[in-house]
Amino acid sequence: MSGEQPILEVRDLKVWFPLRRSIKEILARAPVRYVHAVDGISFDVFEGETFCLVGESGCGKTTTGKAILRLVDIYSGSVRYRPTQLTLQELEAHGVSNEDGWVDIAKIHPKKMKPLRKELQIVYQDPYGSLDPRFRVKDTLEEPLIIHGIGETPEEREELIVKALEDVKLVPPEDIMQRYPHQLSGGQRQRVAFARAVILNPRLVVTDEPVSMLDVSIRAEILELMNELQKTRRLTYIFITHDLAVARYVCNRIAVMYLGKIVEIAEARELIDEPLHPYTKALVAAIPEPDPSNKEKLREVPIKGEVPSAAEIPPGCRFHPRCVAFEEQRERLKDLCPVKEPPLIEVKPGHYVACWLHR
Amino acid sequence: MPLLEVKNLKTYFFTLGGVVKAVDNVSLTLERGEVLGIAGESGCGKSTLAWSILGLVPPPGRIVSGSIVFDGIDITKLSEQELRSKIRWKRISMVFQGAMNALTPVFTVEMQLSEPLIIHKGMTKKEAREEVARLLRMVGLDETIMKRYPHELSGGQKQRVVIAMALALDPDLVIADEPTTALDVVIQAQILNLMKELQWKKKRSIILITHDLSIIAELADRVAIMYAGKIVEMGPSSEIFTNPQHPYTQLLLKAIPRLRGPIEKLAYIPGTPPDLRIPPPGCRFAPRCPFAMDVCRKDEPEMVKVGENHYVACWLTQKGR
Amino acid sequence: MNYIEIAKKIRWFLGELRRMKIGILGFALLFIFVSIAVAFPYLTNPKDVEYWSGHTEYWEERMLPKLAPPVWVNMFSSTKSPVTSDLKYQENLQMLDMYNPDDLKTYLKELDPKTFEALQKLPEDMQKKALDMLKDQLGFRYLVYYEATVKYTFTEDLPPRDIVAELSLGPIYLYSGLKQGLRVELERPDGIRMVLTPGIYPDTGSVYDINRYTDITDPNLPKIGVSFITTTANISGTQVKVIPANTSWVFSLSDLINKLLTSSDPGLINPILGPLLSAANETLVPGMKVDPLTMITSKSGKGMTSGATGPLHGDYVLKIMFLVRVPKDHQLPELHVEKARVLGLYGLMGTDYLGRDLWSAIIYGVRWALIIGITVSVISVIIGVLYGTISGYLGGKVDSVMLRIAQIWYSLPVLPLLIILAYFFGQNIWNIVWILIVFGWVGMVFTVRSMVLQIKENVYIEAARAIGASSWRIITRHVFPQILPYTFASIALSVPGAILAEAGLSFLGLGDPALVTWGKILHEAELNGALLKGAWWWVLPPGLGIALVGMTFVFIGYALDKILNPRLIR
Repeated sequence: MSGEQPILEVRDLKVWFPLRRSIKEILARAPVRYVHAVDGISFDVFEGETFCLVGESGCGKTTTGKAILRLVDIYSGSVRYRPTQLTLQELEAHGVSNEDGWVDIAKIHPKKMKPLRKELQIVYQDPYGSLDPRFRVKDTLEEPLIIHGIGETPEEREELIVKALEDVKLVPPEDIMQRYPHQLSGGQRQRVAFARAVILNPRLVVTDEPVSMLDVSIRAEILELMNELQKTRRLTYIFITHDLAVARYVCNRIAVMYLGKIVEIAEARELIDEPLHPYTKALVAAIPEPDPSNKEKLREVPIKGEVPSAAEIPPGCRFHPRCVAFEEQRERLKDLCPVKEPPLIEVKPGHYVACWLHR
Repeated sequence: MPLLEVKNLKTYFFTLGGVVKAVDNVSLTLERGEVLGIAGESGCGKSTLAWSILGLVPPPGRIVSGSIVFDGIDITKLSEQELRSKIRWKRISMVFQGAMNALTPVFTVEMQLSEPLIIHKGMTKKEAREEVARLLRMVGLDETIMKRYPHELSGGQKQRVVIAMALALDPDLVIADEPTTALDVVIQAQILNLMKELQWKKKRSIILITHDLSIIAELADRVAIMYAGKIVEMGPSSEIFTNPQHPYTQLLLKAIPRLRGPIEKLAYIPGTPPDLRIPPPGCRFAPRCPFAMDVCRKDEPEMVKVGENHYVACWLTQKGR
Repeated sequence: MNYIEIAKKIRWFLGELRRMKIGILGFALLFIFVSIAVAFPYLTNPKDVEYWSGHTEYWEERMLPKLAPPVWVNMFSSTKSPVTSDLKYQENLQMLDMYNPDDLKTYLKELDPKTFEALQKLPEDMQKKALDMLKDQLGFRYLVYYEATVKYTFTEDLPPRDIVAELSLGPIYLYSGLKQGLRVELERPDGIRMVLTPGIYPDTGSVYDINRYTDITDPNLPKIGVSFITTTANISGTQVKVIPANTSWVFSLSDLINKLLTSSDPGLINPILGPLLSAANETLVPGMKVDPLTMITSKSGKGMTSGATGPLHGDYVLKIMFLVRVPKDHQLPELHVEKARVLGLYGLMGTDYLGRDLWSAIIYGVRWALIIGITVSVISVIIGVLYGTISGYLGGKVDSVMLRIAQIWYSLPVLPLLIILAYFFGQNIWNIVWILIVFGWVGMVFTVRSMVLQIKENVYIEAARAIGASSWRIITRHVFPQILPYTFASIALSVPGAILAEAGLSFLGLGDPALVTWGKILHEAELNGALLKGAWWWVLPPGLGIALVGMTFVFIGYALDKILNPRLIR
């Protein structure tokens, strides 16, 4: 996909959540402590690709997705996005300047994000929670149209809604439209969520674990739908998942996150077949597969201990306390891993890793 | 004699909207020391089956007919009092879905674990403490964890404590309902390793209930596939994963994304599982089955033997035979 | 949401409600209360409450028994009491014009037979002259005799509380030396007759005999309660005392005898009760506690003064007689009975110490209970919901500050503050309503805030933000609809508190002086020792009213909570 132009450039993105301070701390004027949910990550997303963010819960992958849509406050860094000409004009009318057609989402006032919201959308993990239970499908899909003033009349809007429902294969749309979320199955709800995301004709859609709460038997159906939407609507996906196996099926490139940092980025297959970072190796090794011979042996997962809290990140390489390689080569690495944070460097074409082993 | 024999079990929920036939005529056996995996999608009745075996079916559900014979005792005939004093925890224990919330937040680990020991085994506090330490070591935890409260533990640690609780009274049968669902893959792998080790050390009977066939492959000797309140296929793990006979099992396996090998198009099953208040006539999978024939929509297929210990309820296999 | 949706929702709500008996009961009670509040002018006389306080003359005119129990106590008691009712009466007016020789002769014949006989012996023309002379000596021209006969048939077990008559009379001119007469007699079924007007005035047989009557200016008369209002009138240059026309004059049997009994002058009481006492061979010792009506309506005999002889059933005849003398060129008086009444049990709810009809007050109290309860709860819940929503939705520093303010407000000692504020501003019911709102809204805040905090965490709220929805849109379209059911339930559930608070303030005497509320009735009852006097009917109905209206809204609130609470809906 390197032939394509980047549509999004994230540079040193940090999303820190301040911890609630006690009265004692406030009185003592102690500095605000932060949870480093996303702690300085950089990556590019190319137009038309599916870029995966993979990691365990609490690694910051969802926060990254939300930061790109400015649904959480960004502490520092930049999220540069290249909108369409039309949106650029609209943004200019709102007083948002651009730099050769690029805008920095991290610097736009949240209230001025509205024109961009048409282009950036999100689909959530929980199809039960992401739809207002009091809204019929029609209401849910009409809301974005009303907000952005698309479709002058109710009839025009209804046409768009029908089109969106047909696009996500919810038929007959006239019937589906009148239903409440609780009258739909999980898969149908997730389709409605996709319909809501695409009805504004976005260019970049963040999908946050879109299939992990669905039954296995219908996951592939939703993934196929995503694929189709990508083709027909020229979408770029940022696909957030904890499941490397799913990522392997849908993604062009995978970025593995650990404790708020990207530890490795590579082409999907290369990352899984030849992982370089010890954490990626552990992650790959930990995934169970429907192979009955597995029960004869213990699964060897080369990792120690558990994930530390994002409020107390270990110094140096944040993975080193759990790293088996560091353990084995402690003497050689003792001045590196526990001391200095490894930079994310390209060790093979298109394969980036942040590990002192791969200097 | 098998340890557990469930025969023609029917557990229905009597709701205002109608009778939900959550478990409908299910029969299975479990040998001593065997791990039986029960797989199925959400709402297929697998959890209800577990509750039935424990005599814990929540109202408005109840066991309508059938028998559950555990070690010669028909559990369906026992009173709640007898179940509590003789069977639950002592002989059959459980690791529930969302087990992280099964710990009382105001009790330390020691208090949680020693309570059943003191009540059921009549241990003194001191004896109980030693036993708790042993149990914690057994599930791979440091015994200093005893003094901690649940909120001070990580997800994986809590899960280990819950497993220790389930094993505290050395039960004959452990029912694990989605024991790793809420856990991250790395911790899931660790917990599965722990369960394997425990199983190898002491041959315990386990019923493992999960929607994830991969997890069943890690542990189970035998697998039962449930769909819409019925078991559609049952057999040895090796058979089910390599030679599935029921279209549902076949599709389910093809729907799982693999980490290795060629990237094939993933299969999926169109449609949704039937409403268990008004299940379709004939085979319940027929409306979603790509191979459905006329007979499938009319008559219900019986369980037939297709291999050693391998049973399938499907007209396709019966026609072929 | 279009109206079909709303209709659907309402149908669903009614369907759910049908399954909740407590809700049905609540709404049925509410319907009854609202009906009562609306139909108040048709259920009783609205003037009753208009003139409730500070209008004693209105209540005197209503002439209701004081502290009378409701009529239905007879249903639960084996000894029946008389019920307040109007009595039949007859009036008789006779007049002699002294300028008419025949009338003058009649007068002489009855009162001065000697002169009459002497006159009869005179020849015709002499007689005329003599009569002419005599008529000028009399000092008046007309002699008006008026007699009102009130008959009361006593059949019950307990004596009536009083027998009263209201007369309209006047003008009666009060020249010194021109005596105007009044005589009241009571005849019992056993024939014993008592003259109730003080002084010893033997019955001479002729109604025209002024000596038979007590002078209506007799100083003893005012003391015994049957007082006359007098003014002065200018009659051909001189000021004359006069009882003006249409003067209302009330005679109360119980008042009269009570006052006689409490008087230390045995010369007053003995002549009046003499016939009764001597027939029963009883004596009255000064200071003895005697219920006059009991004594008067008891059978003659030993123990009659305490009623031990049992009730004497039959017709009691009360005669009120006036003899008015009118000088020439003066207006003739007009006399007639306005009302004659036996006082006993009264109305559905009895009366209070001023003889006020409690039924009117209780019925009227429903109105104010509902107005106060609903106004206070609706406004305070709305304020609380808005405050809580804003605080919860905005979060952060704004939330901290707003929450702290609410917490401080919540921790204020409400009752003492209420009392102080009500004391300073509480002269008007709307001030009280505002004070209650000022302290009532904060209770809602915490629940609503935590609900909003919870709702805010829903993924669909963030999804709405992702499609560009403004905060206002999210609050109105996604957050409020979830809080609304809770709001309805809270409104219903906070009504009783408001009613109780107002009742509490009124009970402490801090209510609106111009209004009748249940709290105020209780306040007056407490102030006048209702319970010490055994006037339970004065205390129980307002108390029960408060409890019942409170219960109604608790039922409704409970039902709404059950039906609409989002936690319980799928």
